[in-house]
Amino acid sequence: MGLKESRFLDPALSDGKGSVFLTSLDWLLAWGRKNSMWPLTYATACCAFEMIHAWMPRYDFDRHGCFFRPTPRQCDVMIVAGTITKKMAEPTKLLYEQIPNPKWVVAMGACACSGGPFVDSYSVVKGVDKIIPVDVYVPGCPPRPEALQFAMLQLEEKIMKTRKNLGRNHVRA
Amino acid sequence: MSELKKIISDAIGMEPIETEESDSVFKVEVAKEKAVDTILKLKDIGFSYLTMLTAVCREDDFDVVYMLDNWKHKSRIWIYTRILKASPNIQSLTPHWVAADWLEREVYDMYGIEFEDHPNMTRILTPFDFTKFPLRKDFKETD
Amino acid sequence: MEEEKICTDTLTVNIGPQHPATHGVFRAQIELDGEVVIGCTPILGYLHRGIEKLAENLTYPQFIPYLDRLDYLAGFLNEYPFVAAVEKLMGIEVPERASYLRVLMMELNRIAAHLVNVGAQGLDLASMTPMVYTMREREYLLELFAAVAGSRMTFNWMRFGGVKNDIPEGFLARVDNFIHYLKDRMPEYAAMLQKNEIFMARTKGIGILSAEDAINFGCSGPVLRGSGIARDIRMDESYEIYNKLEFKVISKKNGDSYDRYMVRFDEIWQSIHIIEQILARLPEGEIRAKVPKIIKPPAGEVYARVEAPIGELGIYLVSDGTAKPWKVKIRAPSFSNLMMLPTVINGLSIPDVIATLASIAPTMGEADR
Repeated sequence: MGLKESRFLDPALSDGKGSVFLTSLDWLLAWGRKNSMWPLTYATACCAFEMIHAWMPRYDFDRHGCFFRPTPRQCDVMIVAGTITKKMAEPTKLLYEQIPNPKWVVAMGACACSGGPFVDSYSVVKGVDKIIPVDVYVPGCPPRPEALQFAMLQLEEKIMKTRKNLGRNHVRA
Repeated sequence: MSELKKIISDAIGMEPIETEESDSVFKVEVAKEKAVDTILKLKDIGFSYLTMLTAVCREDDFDVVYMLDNWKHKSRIWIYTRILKASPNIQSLTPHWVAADWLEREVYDMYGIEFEDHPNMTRILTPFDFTKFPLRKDFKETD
Repeated sequence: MEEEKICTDTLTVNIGPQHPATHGVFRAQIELDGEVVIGCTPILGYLHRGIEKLAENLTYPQFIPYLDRLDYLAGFLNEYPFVAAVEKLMGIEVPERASYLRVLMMELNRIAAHLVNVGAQGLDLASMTPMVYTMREREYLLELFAAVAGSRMTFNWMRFGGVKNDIPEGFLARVDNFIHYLKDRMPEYAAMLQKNEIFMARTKGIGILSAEDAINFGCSGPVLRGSGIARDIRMDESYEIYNKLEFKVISKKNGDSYDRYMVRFDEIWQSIHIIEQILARLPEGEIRAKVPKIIKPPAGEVYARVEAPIGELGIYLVSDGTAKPWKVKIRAPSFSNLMMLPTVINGLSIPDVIATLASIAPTMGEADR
């Protein structure tokens, strides 16, 4: 009903020149998702401040349609910025599971990628991919804001390329 | 003997050792039963800021180290107590001085030294299911 | 007939570990009676990385980069006490120029850290704009740090006996530019924050800590000075070249959130003043003393401290004469400052807890180590 009444498809409303376009639904959904990635305000350590800088003046990543949401239920992307300790592993998993599908994870910084300088420590998880699936890794200790922005752009590309799954690539049975 | 040194030795009944670092930094070694008593006496004479409380793991015993600051005289004093690894317990300072609360819990967490009469002698930093004492020298990370 | 009693139950609210206002991964379990806080249990350790254990298996120069990651807002200030402790043990004299450079970078870093906390105080009271403004200024500072140390936040710049490298050409002019720029901006922040009616209502008289309690809890830094005690290690136990510089120790009387915030704000002015003096008389000369290739301090114990933006940061170092430290204890100001939180928030409501926590401004990397 909604489609029929829209001016794109109704010949009476459109002039018939260039107003009709055809696309596949998966492309349209992926296009919408990649242009409105909402990350979770979730940061543990040093990388948090480079993440904040990426959204503050000079880098201003808001212009790409990325807005921080403080609750996982409104988010699409989880940027894991900083060391994940064994005590923090449980809350991290919980937060990830609270994000509605489809969802993506960016591991920011050496600690989230592999444990970083703290890899020998008794209380550090050696990479966040040990507990949740990761889509994009950003190396650096901490990475510069540009690096994080590049990672987000890579993620956009990934969303478009894996659109056939409609983002369900992480759903486990 | 400096004036401050005399005040200290009058208060605690033993002479503090001057360290090499500076003539206003003192060091005193006490038995573990007398540690809390000594600290409270020092608190009364102006060493009223508990800067640090930690332990050092030695061959077969622990040193529990307290550090008090005296702002008025710009001086500080280290109190050393030796306790055996076989019986790692010592009187808690927390009922008398609230600053020791988390510091003692941290020492318990890291070394397994029990502070008697502490209101909440639980782990503070390590994960909830952790059972070992990481800062002991015989601790080895296995996984 | 028995009279029916109206029974109410208390409610437990968890703030954190993931919460935008906890400055990291701090968790406070708050007991509420209606809307009034009647109890609080802080739960720490969500960022416990075991730095003190790692130190025992690293050589002395290898441990310096880990210190940057303690209080990641103020890397230069975190490196300093460890370097100073080793210098004290080995009896190394630092050349004058290195000493000046250290203080210059430490004071710039103090401004960077205070800018975050000043802005975050506004952010936590739901005013987003000041944070955007202060982070804009911080961006300039981080680029200055990158010009000197090669990195924006984790510097690894201090060395035993001096600093890693000299400042690049034209750096002093850039600092001078920045100082002038910041001076113009400071009244802007003041107008947005402490002169704002709502800001005052939300922070004045909230979370009062008496001077006596502040000492008893072992608080330091702006928390202690906000309660009326003019204790500043830069002044009381002068290190490096602070005794040649002129500055005031800021202290306020009331010990509420507003005063703790104001101490930070006024300290930015003092840091600007210090930097101006250094720019005027930075001497030429060596930047590093001659030190042995392998750092092996003699056996002994030493304590060195620095006035970090949060408070007294100390390193207690026990050396056994080998190339690796026997024990490194980090005296973390955030850890001691947070201890007083349950006392000051009793009887307040949840939004006031956030305002108080913002004024304590802990950095969890340092509190949990």
